[in-house]
Amino acid sequence: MNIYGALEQGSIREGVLRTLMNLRDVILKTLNDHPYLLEYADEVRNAKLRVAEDFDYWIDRSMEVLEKRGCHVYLAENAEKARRIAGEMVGSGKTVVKAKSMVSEEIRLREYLQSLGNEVWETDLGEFIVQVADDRPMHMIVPALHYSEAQVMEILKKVGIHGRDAEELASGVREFMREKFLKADVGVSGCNAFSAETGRVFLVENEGNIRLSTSLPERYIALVSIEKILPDDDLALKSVFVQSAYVGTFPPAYININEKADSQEMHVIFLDNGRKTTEFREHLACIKCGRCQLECPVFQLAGSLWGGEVYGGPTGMVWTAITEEIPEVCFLSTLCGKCREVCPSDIDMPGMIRKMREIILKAR
Amino acid sequence: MKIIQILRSRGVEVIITENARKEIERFRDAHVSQALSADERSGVIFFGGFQDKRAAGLAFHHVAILKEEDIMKDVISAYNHAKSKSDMIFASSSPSKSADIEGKLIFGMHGPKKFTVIVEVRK
Repeated sequence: MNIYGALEQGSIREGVLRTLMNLRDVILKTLNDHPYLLEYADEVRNAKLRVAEDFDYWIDRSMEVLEKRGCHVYLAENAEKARRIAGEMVGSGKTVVKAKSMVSEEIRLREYLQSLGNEVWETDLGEFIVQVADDRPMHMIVPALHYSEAQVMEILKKVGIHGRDAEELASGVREFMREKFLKADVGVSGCNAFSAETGRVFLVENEGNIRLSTSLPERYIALVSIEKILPDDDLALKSVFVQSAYVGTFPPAYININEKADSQEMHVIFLDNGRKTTEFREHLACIKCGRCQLECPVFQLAGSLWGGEVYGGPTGMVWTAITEEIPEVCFLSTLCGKCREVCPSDIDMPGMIRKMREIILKAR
Repeated sequence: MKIIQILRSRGVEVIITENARKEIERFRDAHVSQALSADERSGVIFFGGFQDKRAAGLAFHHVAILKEEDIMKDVISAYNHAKSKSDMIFASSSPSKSADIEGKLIFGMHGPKKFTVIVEVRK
């Protein structure tokens, strides 16, 4: 389905607006009750931009720290190389449990590992629904927001999960996935923030699937896009706190601070994929909370289908420009400025969308 | 202590006692962890150890023992306090939950459905 098809599908609009209504007041209350989070957001933005000015230094430093701690470390210049590295580590005939990760979507990791003959499961409930439906995530954090309870009921029947309401369906998914967690050979996660000081991978969640995906299998692969690198643990922790506040789930039920364990093999793949050389460098301060998506009037109509192959909405326009190419649909932005207004990192997305339009027009 | 109110508001059972050991007797079927520290403002509780992380993640009921003196004024202080005692830090602040189906909140998605914090206060 393309953006025009999305306009016909009322459930996207309904889902985005329902999520926005559920979360907006919660976010405002969180920021009111925890005003220090605004200071954290500033500190994180500044640190991310500082790292982006000298990625080579911070990548070298991060790789060195991880190697000293006994991790296997790789740097992938593009999506194809990252896929290949992950594929070599996983092999074939394995069971792989995955945490939700936009970077893994960016490199189409699940599809690639499946093509090698592996059983690969998205373990986050929303992402699992999207996988079984053979769909794409409709929002960075709430991927299945465009499905009603009744639709989820139908989708999950495909894998033998039955239930009369959200509670029963979730219980069925818990039971289904528990078996996968316990037999998994490999666990894969993305990374919300990475500490160059200690090599720790910070991940926040509410379900507990990341904890199980990254600690139960004997082999763990973390995908770290290079803009997630922060100088130290304190900044990484501040970053995940800000992210969860702007998602509307503050504090996160779980904070996973993953590092090499004696009983586990840990692989870390750093992914560049256009980040080092992008002309949209300010966007590397994005913490991928997805708040701009919910507040955007165009996203409210078309969800993530307004964007590139992976990333949608205002932030998705820029992420697509960084990791793929400038999307023509940037001309559909209203440039209302709401995305910048709600962005924890005060990123000038309207300015960057204007610049994309200029580039497209100049090339004609 | 502000943290007690915060934890209770998000569905965490909180028990305040001068003798945590005595209280643990009631939770024989649960996984019990010694908390390393907590953030007074957010209610985030830090733990340490890889095996504890796995066991706490798999449990249906997770019980944390938190000493009053380990409650810190902010998350950074709490994290650094935890790091000074152990490696492999992880943190919890509520039972496992999800609202991925039509925004309806359910507990016990993949992790513990129940989270209990026993706060051991000074005698």
